[in-house]
Amino acid sequence: MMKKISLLSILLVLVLSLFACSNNGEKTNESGGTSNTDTIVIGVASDWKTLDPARAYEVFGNLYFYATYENLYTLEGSELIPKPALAKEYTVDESGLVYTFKLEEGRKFSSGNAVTAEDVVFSFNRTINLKDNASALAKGVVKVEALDDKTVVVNLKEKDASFLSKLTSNAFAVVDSKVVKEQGGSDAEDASTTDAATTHLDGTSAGSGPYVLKKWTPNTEMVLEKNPYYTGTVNASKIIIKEIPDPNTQIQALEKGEIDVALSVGPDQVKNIKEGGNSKVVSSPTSTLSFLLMNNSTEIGKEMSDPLVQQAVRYALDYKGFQQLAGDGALLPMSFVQDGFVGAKSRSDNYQNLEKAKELMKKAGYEKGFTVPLTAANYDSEGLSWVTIAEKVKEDLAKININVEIQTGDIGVVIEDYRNGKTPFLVMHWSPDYYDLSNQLAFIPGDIVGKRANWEPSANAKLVSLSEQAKVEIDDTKRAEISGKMQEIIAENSPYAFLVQHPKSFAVGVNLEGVTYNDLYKLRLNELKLSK
Amino acid sequence: MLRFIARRLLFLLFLLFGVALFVFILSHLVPSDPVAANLSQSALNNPEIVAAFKEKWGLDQSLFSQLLLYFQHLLTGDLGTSIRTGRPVFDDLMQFFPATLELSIVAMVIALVLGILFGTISAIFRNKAIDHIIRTVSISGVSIPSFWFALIMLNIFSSVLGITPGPGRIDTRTTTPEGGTGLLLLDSFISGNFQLFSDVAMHLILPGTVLGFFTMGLIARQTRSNLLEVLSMDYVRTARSKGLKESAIIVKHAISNAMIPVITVAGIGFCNLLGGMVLVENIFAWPGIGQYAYLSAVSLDFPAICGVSLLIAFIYVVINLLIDILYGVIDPRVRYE
Amino acid sequence: MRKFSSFISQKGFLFKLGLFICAFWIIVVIFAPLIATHSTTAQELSIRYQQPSFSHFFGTDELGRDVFSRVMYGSRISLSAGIITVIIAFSFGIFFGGIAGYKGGKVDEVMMRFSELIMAFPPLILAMVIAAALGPSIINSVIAMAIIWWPNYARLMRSLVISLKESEYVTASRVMGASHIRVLFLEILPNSFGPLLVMATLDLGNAILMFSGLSFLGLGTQPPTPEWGSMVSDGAKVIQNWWVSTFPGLAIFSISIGANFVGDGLRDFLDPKLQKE
Repeated sequence: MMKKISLLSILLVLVLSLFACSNNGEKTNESGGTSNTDTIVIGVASDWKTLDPARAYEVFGNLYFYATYENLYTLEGSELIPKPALAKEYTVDESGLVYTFKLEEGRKFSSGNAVTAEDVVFSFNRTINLKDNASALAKGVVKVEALDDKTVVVNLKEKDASFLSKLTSNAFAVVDSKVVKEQGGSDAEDASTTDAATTHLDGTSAGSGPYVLKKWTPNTEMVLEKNPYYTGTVNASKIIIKEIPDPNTQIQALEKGEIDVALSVGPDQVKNIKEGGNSKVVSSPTSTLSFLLMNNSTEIGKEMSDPLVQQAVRYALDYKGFQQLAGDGALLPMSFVQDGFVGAKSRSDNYQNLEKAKELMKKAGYEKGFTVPLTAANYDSEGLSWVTIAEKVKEDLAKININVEIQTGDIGVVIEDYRNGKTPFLVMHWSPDYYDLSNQLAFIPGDIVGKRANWEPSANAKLVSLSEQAKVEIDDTKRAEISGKMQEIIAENSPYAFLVQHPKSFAVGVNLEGVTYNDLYKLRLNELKLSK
Repeated sequence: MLRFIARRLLFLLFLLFGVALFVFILSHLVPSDPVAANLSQSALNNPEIVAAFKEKWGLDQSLFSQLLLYFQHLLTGDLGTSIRTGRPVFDDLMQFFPATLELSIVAMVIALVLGILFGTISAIFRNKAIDHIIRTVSISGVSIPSFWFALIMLNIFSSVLGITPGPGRIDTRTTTPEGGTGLLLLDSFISGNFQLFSDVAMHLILPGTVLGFFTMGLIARQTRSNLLEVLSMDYVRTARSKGLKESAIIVKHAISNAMIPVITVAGIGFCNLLGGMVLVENIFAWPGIGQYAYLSAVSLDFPAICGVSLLIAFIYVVINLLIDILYGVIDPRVRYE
Repeated sequence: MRKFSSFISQKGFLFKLGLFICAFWIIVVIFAPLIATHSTTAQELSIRYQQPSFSHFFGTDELGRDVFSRVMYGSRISLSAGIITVIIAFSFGIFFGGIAGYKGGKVDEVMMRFSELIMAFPPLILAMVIAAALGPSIINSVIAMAIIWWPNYARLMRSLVISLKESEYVTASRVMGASHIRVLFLEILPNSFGPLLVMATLDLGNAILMFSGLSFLGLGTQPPTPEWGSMVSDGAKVIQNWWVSTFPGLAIFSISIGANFVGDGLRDFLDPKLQKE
C-alpha cells in the first residue's frame, strides 16, 4: 500500500512539474545569476582516490591539498619555482645533504593547534613509512628531526637539486600530528600496516590551509568551508566541487550559470564558447608533454629500433599540426625538457622535412617502407585524445611509406606493456610528479622511461654522465647549460619523438576573478572571487 | 507455491555464485595489471611500494587461493574493497544505489504510463495514421543510441530551451542532504522540504525520460500486440455482440487481460534500465551505480565490477521471482510445479 | 493532406518503409565508393570542424575529414558486424535451444540455467569486460555480443520445439522412423523459422546499436576505420559541433528503426491471430 501511495505521489509531482516547467526554468536561471557571492561552485571530473596527503598522487590531488593543507615550500601563480610557505627560510650545509628549515611563527591548524616542528617530522615520516604512492617522492629522505619547536632538519641520502620542488607536493604536506594520532595515525616504520587515519582524513582535513573539508562523497561532491584559524586571504567562504564527468555537460552547466568553473574540459570544447556570453576561456601552459616512443630493442621495435628510422620519423611529423590539435598556447619543446624548466629550448614549427626523412629511410634500406603497429590508449592529454594523435601520426608517416596500424587499448593494459618495455611504437605522455629538471631525467638511457624504450646506458654514455651532473648541480646557470646539451642530443638521437607541450584550456564564469592556473595545484581556491 | 519460491531462491544462490565465478575468471583473462593501473609512475619503480600494494590486495598469492579467499569473503557478506575508491565495495554500492533506484523508478513510471497509453491508442486505431506515428515513436525508443539521445536531449532541453535544469540530482549550489533513505524525493517529502522536493523532481524529469524511452517502446509494442490479440478473442466478440460500448469493452475486459504479458516485458525493461544506466548516468553526472560501473570497468577494478554485477543479477532474479508470483495472483491458470 | 494520411494509413506502411530503409542502406553498402565524395581518412587540419556545406554535405570532423564519406563507408562495418553477430547467435541459439527442448530433462535444465546466468548479467558491462579481455577489434566485439545474445535464441527455439514436439506431424515422422536429428532439423526447425526470423530481424537493429555502444566506449573498431559508434563518440566530445555526432547517430538510428519496422511487419504477417479481422 505504501508503495502505491509513494508511486502515485511521484507520478502526481511529475505531472504537476511538467505543467510548471517553463516557469520553474526561469526561476533557476534567476537564482543562478544572483546567487550569493560567498559560494563558488566548481565542475570537475576528478581522479581523487584518497584525500590522505601521505598517500595521494592523483592529477587533481593538489587542487584539494593546496586548499586544506600547507607545505614548507609552495608554488605560486603560474610559476614552478618554490616559494617559502610554512617555512620562513632554509639553509643547506656544505655537503648539500642537510637542510635546516625555520618555521613561520603563529601558524595554526584548523583544530586551533599551533604548527610545530614535531608536526613536520610526523608528516614526513608518515609519508615515508606508509609506502603508498606519495612515498615515491620522499625516497631520498634519510632522517627528519626537530631541533626545537620551530626548527626542522632533513638529511638526504644523496645531493638532490630538486628537493625544494619535491617539498611543494602533497607528499610533504604538513598534517596536525595530534589529530592524526588520535585518529589512529602512525609515523612508525610499520605504518604501512598499522596506520588507520586515512578513513578520517578522507572525511575531514587536518591541515593549516585556508579551507576545511566538510564533506566528500566520491564521484559526487566535495564541500569546503573557511578555516577560522587561517590568517591569509580567503575570498569565498564556501567552495562546492561537483563531479561532472562529461565535458559537454560541464560547459552547459557553466553557460547556464549553475557552476562557476568548468575545469575538466578540452581545447575543442572551449572553442565554442561565445564571446560576450556568461563565460570566458582561460588558457595556460602545462608541463604535460606528449611523445612517441620507438622501442630500441631490435627484437621488439624491429624497424623502429633503427636510429635512422627514428630520425626519419622525427622529420616526417607535422609539428604545426600537433600544435593546432593541442589548442591555443601549445608549445614545441626541442626535446624532453618543457618550457618553464631550467635551460628549456624550443623547436621551430617548420622542423618537418619530408625530403630529409625520405633520404634517411632510403639510407636505412626502407625506401619502400614497412608496416608497424602503433599503440594508443583511450586516454587524453589535457583534452587531446591519444587516439587522435595516433591518427595524425598515421597520416604523417604514410608520406614516408611507413604504414601505421593503430591499436587502441585500455590505459591499464597499455601502461602495463609500456612499463615492461614490450611496446614497439607507442603514443604516451609525461606529466611530472614534481617540477624540476631531475624529474625529466627519466628519459635518459637506463632511467625509468629509457628502460621502457630498451635504451641501455651504454648506448649514450655522454648523456648518462650529463644527467648525473644535472641531478646534483645546484648552480642554476651551470645546470641550464647541462640541460641544453642533453636536449640537443636527445632531439636528434633518441628513441623518442616529442610532439607537443600541451596547454590547459578551461572556462570560467565572466564574473570570476583570481583565476591563475598552475600545473601542480590547478587553482588556488582561496584566491577565487565572484564579483557582482 | 512455497516450494516454488524455495526453488527460485536456491537458483538465486546458484546464479550469484555463477556470476561471481564468471567475473573472477574474466578478471584474470584481462592482460592488465591492477598494480599498473593504480600506482603512479614513480611509485611503480619502487619495489617496496609495489610489494606493499600487492600484499594489501592479495595479488601476491596463487590464483586458486585468491579464488578461495574471494568466496570466503563473499560468504561473510564481504564484497571486497574497491581498488579504485579504496573503500569497501558494499559501502560504495549502498552509497550509489539510491540515486540509481530513484532514477529507475521514475523512468519506469514514465515508461509504464506512456507505454500502456500509447499501446492502447495504437491498438484501437490499428493501421490508422496515429497508429503508425505511435509505433514509429515506440520503435524509435528501442532504436535510438541512448548515449547520443542523452547528449542531444540535454543540449536541447537544458541549454537551448532552458526548460529543465542541468546535470546532477539537485541544484549545484546546494549540497545533497545527509541521512534518510538516499531517495531524495522521498526524504524531502517526509521532511516537508518542498523546495528541495520540486528541485529534485525537476532534475529527474529529463534523465528519467531518456532512460524510460527504451522501456516505453518495449511496453507500447507489447501492449499493442496483446490488446489486438485479446480484442480478437471470443469473449470480446461476445461482449460486442451483447451491444456493449467499445470503450467499455476495452477498459473492462481487454486491458486487464492484455496486461499480463506486459508485466513480463516491464520486468525485462526494468533490468534493461539498470544496464542502460551506464552511459546515461555518465552524461547526466548522476552519481549512481551506472557511473560507478563505468568508472570501475575503465580502471579494471574487478572487486567493484563483480559487486555491481552481483547486485544487478540479484535484482534481476528478484524481479523475475516477483513477476512469476504476480502471474499466479493475476492469472489463475498458472500453476507452480 | 488527406492523401498523405491515407497513404500512411495503408496496411503495412511501416513494413514497406522499413524495407525501403534497409534497401537504401544495402545500396549504400554496395556502392559506397561511388557515393562517397572524399577519402574517408584524408586529413586536412585547415578545415577542422567545418559546418555542413556543398563541398562537405555532413561537414568535417576533428581532423578535417569528410563526415559524409565516412558515414557512407561506415555502413559497411556496422551492417556486417550486426549481421554476423546475429548469424552466430542465431546458429548457436537454435542448436543448443533445439537440443534442450527436444531432449528435455537434465540437459534442458542445465542449458536453461546457464542461459539465465548470462541473461542475469548487465549486458553492456559483460560485453565491456569480454571485449576488454579479448582486446579491442571488430571480431572480438562481435564475439562478445554473440556470447550475450545466443541465450535469447536458445530460449525461443526451446519453447518452439517443446510446443511442436508433440504435434501430429512430428509424431507421424517419428513413427515412420526418422532419426531425432532429422526430426529436429528437418521437421521442427522449418516450422519454427518464422518467429526466429522475426527475432533475428528485430535483433539486427539491437546488434548494430550495441556494437556502436562498444565502439563508443573505445572497444570496437580501430581508428581511423570509419565506424558509426566511434564517430558518434568523436563527436560527443564536442556536442556544440553537432554535425560530427548527429549524422552517424542518425545513421545508426535509421538502420535500427528500419530493421525493427521489417521485424514488426513480419511478426504481424506471420502471426495468424493478428491476421484475423
